[in-house]
Amino acid sequence: MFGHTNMLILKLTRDCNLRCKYCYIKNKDNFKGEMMEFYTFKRIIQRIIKDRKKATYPPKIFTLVLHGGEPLLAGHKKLRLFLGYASRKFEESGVKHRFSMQTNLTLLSTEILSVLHDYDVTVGVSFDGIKESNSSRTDINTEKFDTHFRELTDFNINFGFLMVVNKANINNIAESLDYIFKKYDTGPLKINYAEDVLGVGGSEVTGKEFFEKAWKVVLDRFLEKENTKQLEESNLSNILERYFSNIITKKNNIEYMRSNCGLKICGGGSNIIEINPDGSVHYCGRYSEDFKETYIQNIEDEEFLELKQISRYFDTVKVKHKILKENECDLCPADGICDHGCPAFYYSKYGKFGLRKDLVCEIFIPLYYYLVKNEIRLFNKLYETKKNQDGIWYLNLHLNIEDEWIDNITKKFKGYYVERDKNFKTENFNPQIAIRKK
Amino acid sequence: MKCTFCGKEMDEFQVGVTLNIKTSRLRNDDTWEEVPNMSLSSKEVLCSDCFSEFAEVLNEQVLKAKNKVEK
Repeated sequence: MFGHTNMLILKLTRDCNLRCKYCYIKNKDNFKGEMMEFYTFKRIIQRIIKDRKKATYPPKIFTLVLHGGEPLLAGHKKLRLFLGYASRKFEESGVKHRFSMQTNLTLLSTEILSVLHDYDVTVGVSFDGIKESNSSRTDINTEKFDTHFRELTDFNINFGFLMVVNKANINNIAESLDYIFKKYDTGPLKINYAEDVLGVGGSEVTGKEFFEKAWKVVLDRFLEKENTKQLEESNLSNILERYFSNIITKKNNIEYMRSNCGLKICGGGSNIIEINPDGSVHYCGRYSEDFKETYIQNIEDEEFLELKQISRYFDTVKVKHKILKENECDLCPADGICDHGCPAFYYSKYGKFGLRKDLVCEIFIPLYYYLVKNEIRLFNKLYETKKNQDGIWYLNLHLNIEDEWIDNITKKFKGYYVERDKNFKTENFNPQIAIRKK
Repeated sequence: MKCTFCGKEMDEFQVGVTLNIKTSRLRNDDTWEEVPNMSLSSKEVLCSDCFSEFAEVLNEQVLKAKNKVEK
């Protein structure tokens, strides 16, 4: 399993202290008090080490994401026990790793802060913005959240924000971005669209609204604000990189990237897997319940050549391929940048795999035209924000570099050039191209 | 080093068996497009007994499956 899987979403519990309207986990009340046992956790870590040892090309860095429900419900003692064990075992076995956690942060304490600090856990904070933006989730106010953000800063913990766009925050995006980036020296936040997976209602915004009031706002700010340090949203940052890679190579770079989310046929079940508190392994953490169709195996099950997981993943590849064909996604202008929807959310909502055209196409087709219309300005701005101290912007191309692509850059983006021989970085799986300004 | 299948310490032989998979899908425009997450490699390192068993079972089962598909 872990010979090629590079990210594990580890659900310590499906219990949570909040009841967000747009949450996709079904029957949360049934999971009250649920928590992964240390025995199960140890078996998972041992399995990761064993599988990686025999792999030909294990992913360079393994990311363990403590997830939920709410992972802070584990408390500081259990978190220290788990992370201490994983950390020591990974070090002993030479597994390069990263720990991260997705949390609502409301249960933060000094003891927990010290655990996060000691094991260098990168924290993804669920925060929908200022004022009434969090009203779909909690009545905890911005000031209280702010105290926790300051505590993370004081403990020198690396953190970023996950903002889920829903009816409560759709009109506050710019204001919330101003608040976050003025106060905290953090990298791009992630802005996802809410999907009303459980049919509760009252949270989901339309694709058009999401594009106009969230992503377009971010892009406009990027283009219009002077002295911008970065594109403030990480999905868009990846999309722009993909967009320019596609232009330069005249190929669809999606074909050459392994990835978790956001890919035409996503990596749920291959690149990324989810494990529940009982040790059952599923495609990914975004399914609302334990469906038979998305179950891979148990962490204790034996496997030969990872064939159980591979054949289960291939089942989804076949289904997703059929959906892409039926919806003629291959012929869509936005194909090269689109996330093609979340299969987990669709399955959870409708009991079968499919594509939310109303949501996905309304976001990605206008986005594509926006990028086309603004590509020169975006390229210039990206260069300014991505260049290093030597004036070089390294762009991932995912492919071995061909001569013709160098010409594509100079023809299309006047004033830029590429120094071929010196600047190619091919030591990892993602060859990069070095772009300079004349 | 231990056999990744039976767990016994290997002495005389160790046989590495690698499965390399590259998968492409046929697009709407009748061209092939790679599925990167389904392009991967997996590996076992077997002792001589396990490899002999594996080779026999694989041959037998694959031929059986072939007959099934042809019918």
